[in-house]
Amino acid sequence: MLRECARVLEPGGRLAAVAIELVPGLSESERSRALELGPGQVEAPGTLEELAVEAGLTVRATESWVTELHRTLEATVRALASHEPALRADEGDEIFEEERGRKVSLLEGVEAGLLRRTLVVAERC
Amino acid sequence: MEESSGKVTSEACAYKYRRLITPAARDVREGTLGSAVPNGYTSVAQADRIADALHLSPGAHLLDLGSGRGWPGSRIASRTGCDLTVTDLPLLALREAVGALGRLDGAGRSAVVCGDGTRLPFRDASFHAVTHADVLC
Repeated sequence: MLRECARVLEPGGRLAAVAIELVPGLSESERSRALELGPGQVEAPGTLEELAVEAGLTVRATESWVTELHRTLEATVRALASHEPALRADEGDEIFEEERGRKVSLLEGVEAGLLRRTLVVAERC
Repeated sequence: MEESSGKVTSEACAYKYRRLITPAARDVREGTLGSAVPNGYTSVAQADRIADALHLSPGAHLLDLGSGRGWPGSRIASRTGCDLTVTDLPLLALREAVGALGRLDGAGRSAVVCGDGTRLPFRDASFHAVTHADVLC
């Protein structure tokens, strides 16, 4: 997908990509746990920054957005709890449980230092 | 609006736009990311950071890839005055994006295109900037 981004960018054009990804340097067991806890696309062949370089782009900036993700997930889990009766009634038990499970898992992965969210700004030179 | 490719993938991606659309679910989202955020984890402040990083101005053309309902591209286009094309696979989300882009203040021209991010239906060097956030989350 990043190669397609590079293709459709004009020379000098910029890409700003954000992704939840594995923290580099995990052990095999940590990596397995991170893949269980994170969304499907975290199983990528490299970090977002590495993939941008492989796509032929020049990285201009990389920022960690993990603190904001942690804050958002904590707030979401709290909000899901406070709205639980209405959500179960409106959306159904299955959807409520699935959504809460996804958010709790992702929060666990972030708090364990296994998952992070990153902004990469890159340029097609 | 025609779907250009990836019908199975489109259906697989669409599930998240059929849920959490009730008033209680909107309360959850507004309490965590702000009322302006229709999908994803990108806050208003983060959308503004992306806009600044892309160096956009009126007349520039931004592609928001995997935009869902049009976020964060809609915010970036309003903030910078750039033209905007949003693309994703789920038609359900893109229909909502059509409405969201029609209500934009301050943005340039806008378009909604159904397409696969791994085979974008655009010519080489079509855009001044591209953004994507948490695609396939």
